[in-house]
Amino acid sequence: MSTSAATCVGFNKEPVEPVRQWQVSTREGTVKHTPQWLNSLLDELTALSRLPANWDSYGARAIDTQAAFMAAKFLCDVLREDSVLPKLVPTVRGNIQLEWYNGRAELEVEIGAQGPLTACFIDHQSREEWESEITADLTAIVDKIKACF
Amino acid sequence: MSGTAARSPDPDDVPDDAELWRRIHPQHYPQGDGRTWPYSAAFEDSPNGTSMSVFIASECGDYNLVLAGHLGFGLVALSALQVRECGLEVVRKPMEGQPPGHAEVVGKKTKSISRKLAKACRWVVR
Amino acid sequence: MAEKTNKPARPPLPDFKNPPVAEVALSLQFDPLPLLRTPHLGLLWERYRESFPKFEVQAPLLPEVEWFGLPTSSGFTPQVKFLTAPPMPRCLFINERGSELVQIQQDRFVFNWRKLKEEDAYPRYEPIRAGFEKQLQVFREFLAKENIGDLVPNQCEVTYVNQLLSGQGWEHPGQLDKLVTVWRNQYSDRFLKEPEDVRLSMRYLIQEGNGPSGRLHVSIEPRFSTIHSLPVIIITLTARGAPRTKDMAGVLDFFDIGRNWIVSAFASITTKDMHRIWGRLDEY
Repeated sequence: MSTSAATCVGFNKEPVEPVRQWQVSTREGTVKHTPQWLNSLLDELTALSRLPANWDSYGARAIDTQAAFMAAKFLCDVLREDSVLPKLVPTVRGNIQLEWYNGRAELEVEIGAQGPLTACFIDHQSREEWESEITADLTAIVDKIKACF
Repeated sequence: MSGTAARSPDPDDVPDDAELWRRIHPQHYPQGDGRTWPYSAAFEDSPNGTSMSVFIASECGDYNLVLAGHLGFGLVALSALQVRECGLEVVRKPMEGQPPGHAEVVGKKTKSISRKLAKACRWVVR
Repeated sequence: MAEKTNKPARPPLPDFKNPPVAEVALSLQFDPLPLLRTPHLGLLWERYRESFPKFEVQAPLLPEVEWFGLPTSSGFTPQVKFLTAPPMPRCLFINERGSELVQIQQDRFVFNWRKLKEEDAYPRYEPIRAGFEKQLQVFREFLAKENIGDLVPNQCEVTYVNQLLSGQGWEHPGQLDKLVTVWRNQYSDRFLKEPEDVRLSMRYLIQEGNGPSGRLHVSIEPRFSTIHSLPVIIITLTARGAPRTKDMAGVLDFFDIGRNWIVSAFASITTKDMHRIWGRLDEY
């Protein structure tokens, strides 16, 4: 086998960022039993880790590890034991969008490496609708999750 | 720019009734929560700043050209009018190596607008 | 980030002649710098090497963010395990004595002072703050020269670790009520006596103006010091939150607020008997 760099496979191709596969698990605190949504959450996040760059064919970024961690952290803090897990949707920026839908109301929260970034809510019955950037105060989001989903 | 303003004829204009195709990744298919439309995250600009890519159906001709090389992807259709009603514009953008009829949907896509596009579209291939 | 910084005058805070401070850490978390890669750490060390000739490499710290309005946590803390190539590590640049450290990873910069020997005096907050500023400036200049990007702060953290040796106001770890005011060792009957040991964990909202701006975490736990061969109680106070403005002035402002809260809270949760042992200087 030649050691010449010029004959190495792939030498003349564009360098490709290797996909860093990762898995999200949890360290248990004082809670002894596992909420029904936890295993699904971990499985879905791990599945998202396998999406490579350009997964959507339009130049989307691979899912940011820290965004996945923040999504898991957020849901572990927000969901109750009997909560329904929202849908986990990858975004082109490599973030994770959490989506709640029950026919009457819809809530979308995009989670990035720093945590929740933007949220968007609509209630088709009351016609309440808003979209905002999120800072450290998650009260509005938490209230909607509790009230509607 | 108002989506309902009268438009003067322009040969480069994409007519209101033109059907636009967009490829959808399976991760953006609705997943058993009662929705039938794709997730709004499927209707955004690329992270490198390129506007949302679509194909003008009448010029492309065959949706298999759009789906070639993208196993498992679906395809949705929107009209140019539906796009304009969201305050966006359709601009032709022929690209080498792409099927004919390539265009871009230009304008700021808030989450609310992306959701409107998602709900307005219809499935062509799923 | 803007360059404007101001050295603070010491505000009227509880003051001790011999506070039991064993370590202070000032930590800045910023939006990840994807262009900062492992080889850059070697180049960066060249800039620190004269003052920090030793180094260690460790796994990166997980991001920490204070959110408000959440219900009490489920108790599950997520962690991420890498199945293939790991991310960029955390590099620790250490001075010759081992008393000061600079820690750098893709989204964090930390400056630590730590006490190594009993005779080491706590240098006080102001020189540690100045040390953080100086070493951060080295890092920022490196980032600019290598076109890696600038720092966009998202969380600041001040940590004080206090080490209370047995034999100075208390003997057994179950005698926590001799050290702190928040544990009373009182029962509704005579069934239980003094516990073997006690661990406490508390959180307080830091309120400076409209709404919470951060959180103060207090943990109290028993350990055994192998250096002294004595039981020791560790009281750790961490103030964490987002800077009001995403620039150096905002970061230092939070550090000052955090330090004020920590020093005041420490005096509040410890007993007057311990204050006398530590030589409290201010009037209270």
